[in-house]
Amino acid sequence: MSEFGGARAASPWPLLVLCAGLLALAGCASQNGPQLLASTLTVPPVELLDVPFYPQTAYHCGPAALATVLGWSGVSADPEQLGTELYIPAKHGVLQAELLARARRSRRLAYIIPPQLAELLRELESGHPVLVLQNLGLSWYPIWHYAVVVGVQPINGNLVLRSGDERRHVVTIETFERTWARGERWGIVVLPPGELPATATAVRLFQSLADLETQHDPTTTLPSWRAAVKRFPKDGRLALGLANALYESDRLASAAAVLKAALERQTDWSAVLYNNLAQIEADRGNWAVAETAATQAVRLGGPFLSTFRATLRTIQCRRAGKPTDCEPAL
Amino acid sequence: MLELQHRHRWLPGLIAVVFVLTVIPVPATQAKMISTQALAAGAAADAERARIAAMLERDEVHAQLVALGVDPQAARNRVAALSDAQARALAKHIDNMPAGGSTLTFLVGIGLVVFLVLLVTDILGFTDVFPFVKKTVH
Repeated sequence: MSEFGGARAASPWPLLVLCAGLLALAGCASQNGPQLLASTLTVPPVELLDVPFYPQTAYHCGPAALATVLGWSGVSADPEQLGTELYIPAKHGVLQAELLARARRSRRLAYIIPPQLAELLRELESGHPVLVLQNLGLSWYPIWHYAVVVGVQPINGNLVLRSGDERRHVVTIETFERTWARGERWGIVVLPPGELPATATAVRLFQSLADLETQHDPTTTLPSWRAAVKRFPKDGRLALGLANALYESDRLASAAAVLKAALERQTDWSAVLYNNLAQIEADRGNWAVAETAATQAVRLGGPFLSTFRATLRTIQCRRAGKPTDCEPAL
Repeated sequence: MLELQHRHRWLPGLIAVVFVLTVIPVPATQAKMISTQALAAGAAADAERARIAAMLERDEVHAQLVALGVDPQAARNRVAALSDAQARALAKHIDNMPAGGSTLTFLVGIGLVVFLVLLVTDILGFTDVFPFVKKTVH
């Protein structure tokens, strides 16, 4: 500021405006341009009217945005309370990781969408509001902001956001793209049990559900595991996640059935599926089936081979009626 | 004395690792289910190693949150809610991570130059700071 103060007598206005223009162009050139122009939009118009609105207070755009998507997903959340839980005083804001963690605490699947506008629009089309991080300012003067995208108007080339104290912040796609790109196009969907992201991939869905399960008992995740296996029947990890959740809920027969069905579909990770099937069948007293499965797991090998061997050894010595030998002898 | 303290800053971390390694039982020799968490973390040994690393990283994140003004007890709960991968990322990069705040309060401290720059860029549609600016980009 001070260096400009001295130039006040010489009327700094034209210079300032010129600087602003140049900086803006530099900022624009240094980042990727809009990925998708309004003229090329082929999506239907969407506006999710049932997404609630919580006007933000003070620094609390993160809690307001989180309360918005939580409220839509069926969890009533008080933005003030969320603010108390999530605010970081010295940063004057809320971290992305903590928004995800807080959504999980409310038994919701929090999923980071792929960083592309087309993917964001796919979620909207499926009826999912998308919580986004924007840098509303410039790369060298960031103004970080969370908002929730709830609509797209392809004809006008606009998006509709729940943002700040505006219930319907209408912004051109070009401008949104720039502010979103400066936040590395970070966006999440927060979904109720059983609902999957439109943009889900099997690998990342597995990771999100595994993260959710670290905090809750399997009854929370069961509907989502089921939906995930239905959508990605060839993915062995998702089948294992479903079977494990059933096993933890003491539904051994269902768990075994899920694993057998997955093995019949020739999913990947079959060695791990065989190992867990062996353990479940052993728990059910089906020793012959258990030993066959454990043998298969050992034959296929892989990074968990030492566990497979231990499973097989335990089953074999229990079958032989020598339980004292079953304890780890290595 | 100061130099000595500095030289042995790694000592508490080492002690923690040794302690954890000796206390946690080796799981691979027991017949058991491969848990969803173990599969998410990779091989069993990797999972265990990652768990130890994550414990240390969680302590680090806790210390950083407290340094940033969060109540220590609240920080403990918040750290516990993070996934291992998130704790790892935060331990390394918390200082550089964006924290979504507000457009309202920043205006109080804003300088005239920045205000003008943002006003112009807002009008041009490169930024979206001021709700009263009608965008010219179509």
